[in-house]
Amino acid sequence: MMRRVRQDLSALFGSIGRPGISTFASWGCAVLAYQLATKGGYAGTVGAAIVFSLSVLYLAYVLSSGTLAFAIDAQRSCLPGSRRLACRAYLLASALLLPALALTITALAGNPVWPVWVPTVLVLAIALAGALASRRPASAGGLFLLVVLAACWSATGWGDHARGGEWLFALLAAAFVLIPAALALLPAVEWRRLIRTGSRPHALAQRPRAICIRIDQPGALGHASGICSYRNGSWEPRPPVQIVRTCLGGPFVRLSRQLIIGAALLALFIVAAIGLPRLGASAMRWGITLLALASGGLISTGFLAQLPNLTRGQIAELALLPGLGAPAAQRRTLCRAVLTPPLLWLGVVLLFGSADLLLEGAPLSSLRMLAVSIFILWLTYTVYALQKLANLPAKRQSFSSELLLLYLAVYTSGVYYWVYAAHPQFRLWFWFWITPVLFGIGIALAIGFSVRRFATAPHPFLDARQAETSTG
Amino acid sequence: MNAVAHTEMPSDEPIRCEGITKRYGGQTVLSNVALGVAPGTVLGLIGRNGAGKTTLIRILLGLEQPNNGRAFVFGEPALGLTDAAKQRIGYVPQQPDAFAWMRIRDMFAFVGRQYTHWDGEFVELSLARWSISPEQRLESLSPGERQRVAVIRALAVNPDLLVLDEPASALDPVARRDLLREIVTRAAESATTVLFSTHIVSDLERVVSRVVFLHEHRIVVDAALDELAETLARLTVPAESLALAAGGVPGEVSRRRQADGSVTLVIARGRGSDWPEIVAAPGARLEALNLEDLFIEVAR
Repeated sequence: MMRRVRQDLSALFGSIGRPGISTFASWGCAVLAYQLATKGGYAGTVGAAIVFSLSVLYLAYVLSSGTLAFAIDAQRSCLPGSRRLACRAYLLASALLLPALALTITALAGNPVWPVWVPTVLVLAIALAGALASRRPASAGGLFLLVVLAACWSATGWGDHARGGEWLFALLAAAFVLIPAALALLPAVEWRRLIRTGSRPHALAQRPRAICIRIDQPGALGHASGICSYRNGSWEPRPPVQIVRTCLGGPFVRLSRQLIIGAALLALFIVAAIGLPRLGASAMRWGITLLALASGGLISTGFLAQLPNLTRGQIAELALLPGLGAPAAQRRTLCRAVLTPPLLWLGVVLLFGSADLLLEGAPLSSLRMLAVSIFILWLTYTVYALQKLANLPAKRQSFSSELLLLYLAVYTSGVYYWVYAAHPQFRLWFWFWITPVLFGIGIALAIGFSVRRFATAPHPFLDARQAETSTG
Repeated sequence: MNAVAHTEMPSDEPIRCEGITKRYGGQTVLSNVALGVAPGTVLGLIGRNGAGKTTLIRILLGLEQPNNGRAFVFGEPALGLTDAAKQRIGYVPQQPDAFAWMRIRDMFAFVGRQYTHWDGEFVELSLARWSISPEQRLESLSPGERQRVAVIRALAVNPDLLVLDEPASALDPVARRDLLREIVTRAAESATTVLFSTHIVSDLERVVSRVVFLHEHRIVVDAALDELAETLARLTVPAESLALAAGGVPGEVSRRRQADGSVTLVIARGRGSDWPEIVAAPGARLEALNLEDLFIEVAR
C-alpha cells in the first residue's frame, strides 16, 4: 500500500521530497505569518499577508503544476486510470493546502485589522481559480466573479477599512492583480485545448504552381534532378547576438510557468503595496512605482521564460550554425544575448519611472527605492539566467531555484514589514545587516559557481550532463 | 587528464575519433570507440535503441564531451569547431526544433544568410515537392513535417559532411525514399560524406557503403556493405564441437545458445582470410548473413 502511494506521488510530483519539503515550508511560513498578523498591527498584518500568500501560492504551484503535467501526459498516452490518479492528486493537494488555508481564516477572524486580508484572499482566490481553470472552468469562473466583487467592494471602501480616499489604489491594485491572473490563465486554457483536441492545427500546404510544374519530374528532391545549380548567393552573416536572440525568440513568444510565477509574485508585490499609501506616500507616486515594478517584473519573467525552452535539439542546431565564432566568443555572445536586453528594458523602465516620480515631486528616497527594486529584479534574473546557461539544456526548474525565488520575495516583503513596524534594534540588524550579507554571499556563490561552470566547459552549448560526469 | 585534447590531428577525414568513452553517472554508454570516415563514404550507424548512436554522433559533432577520447571533424577538434568547419556540416537532429516560433520562409531566410553555399532554389523546390507551405510556423508542423524541414535545411547547406540522426523515423515511405535517393545522389555527385544513424536496416541496405554496428557500448562490426557477406557469417555448431575450440573462436562477434543445445555464432574474418577451423567441425553449418540477419543475431 505504502509503495503504491509512493509510486503515485512520484508519478504526480516527480518526487516525494519536493512536495514534502514545500508543504512543511509553507506550513511553517503560515504559522510565522499568523504570529506576525496577531502581534504586528497594521504593518505586521500586511507583511504577514505577503509571507503567508507566498508560501501558499508556492505550495499550490508545486502541487498543481506536477499534477497538471501528469494529467496531460497520462491523457495523451491513454494511460488507464489516469483520471482516477489525477483526482486523487487534486484531493491530496487540497488536503495539504487545507491547514495553511485554515490558518488564514483563523487569522482573518482574529485580527483587528482584518480588511487588510482582503487582498490576500483575492490573490489566493485567483491562484485557486488558475489551478481550477483547466479542470473546473465553472468553479474557476465563479471564483473570478468573487474576486471581482471583492475587489470592487474593497475599492469602494464599503468594507470600512479606514483607507479614506485611497480607493484608487485598491482599484489599481485589483486591476494589476487581475492582469497577471489572466496571464496565468492563458497557459491553463491552452493546456485544456491541447487535452481536449489532442491534435495540432493542420494547415494545408500551398504549392506554388510555377514550382510544381518544375519539380513534377523524376528525381528525389530538387538537387537530385540536377536542375538546381543556382546558388542563393545571399550570404550576409547576422551578428552572433542576433543569431542567439532569434533562436530564443521574443521575450513573450512563449508563455511558460516561469511567467506564471512571475505574474503571481508581481500580483503579490502589488498587493503588498496596497497598504503602503496609508503610510503617507501620495497616490500617484505609489501608482508610478507599482507600474514600474509591474513592468519590470513582466519583462524579467518574459525573458527568463525563454531559457528553459532551449531543448537539446535546439542547442545542437544553434551550436552548429556558423557565425558564432570561437568558444570564447560564443560565451560572450550568449551572455550578451541573454543578460543585456533585460538590462536595457529595465533601464528604460527605471528612466521613465524616475522621470515620472520627479515630475510628481517625489523625494529622492522614492527614486532610490525604485532603483534598488529594479536592480534586485535584474539581479534575480541574472542569477537565474546564469544558472540556466550553465546547465543547458535547461532541466525542469530546479527546486533550489524556486526556493531562492521564494526566499527573495519573502525577504523583500519582510523588509517592508520591518521598515514600517518600528521594531527593536536587533531586528533591524537582522533584516538590514545579517540577512542582506548572507543573501549577498548566496548570490555571489550562485553567480560564481555558474560562471565557473560556464567558463570551464569547452564551449557553452555542451550538454550539461556531460559537465557533471566528465572526469575532466 | 582532460577528456578531449585540444590538439589538432592532421587528417583530411571528415570524421575521426579514437578511444571515446562516455558515461552518464555510473552508466557506460560508449566504451573505447574508435572510428574514421573517409570522404565520400555513406556510413550507416546501426544499433538497438539506447545503444549509444545519438551520443556518439553528438560527441563526433562536439555537442557532448566524452569522458575519454578525442574527436575531430575535418581535422579540427570537435569541441572547438570553427565557423569554416561548420559551413561544411549539415546536421539533422533526432528532434529538430530550433527556431520553432518562426515561419518556415523566415527561418530559411535567416539561416541561409549564415552559409556561403546556401541553395535557396533547392529549398523552394523541396518545400513544394514535400507540400510544405513556407508560411506555416515550425511549431505548428507535425514531427514528420518538421523532420522534412530539417532535412531540407541540412541539404541546402550543400554540406561536405551530412550527419543524420535517425532522420527517417518520422518520415512517410515516399519522403524516406526521396531522402535516401538524395543521399545517394549527393554522395555520388558531390562526394558528400554521410553519417546516417538508424535502426531501419532496409534503409541502410539501399544507400550505405559502410556499416558500423554499435552494441553493448562498443563497435562490434565495422565493414563495407559489399563485403558483409564475405567477411561475416553465421555459424551453427554443436556444443561439443565448440568445447573443443579452446580459447574461443577467432573473429567471434556474438554467441547465442539454441534450445537444442547447439550454439550460433556470428564470426568475422579479414578480407582474403580463411574462416576459422571450427567451420569444418562435424555438424557445423556456415550461412551468409544479410544486414538484417546480422542485426538480429548480434542484438538478440
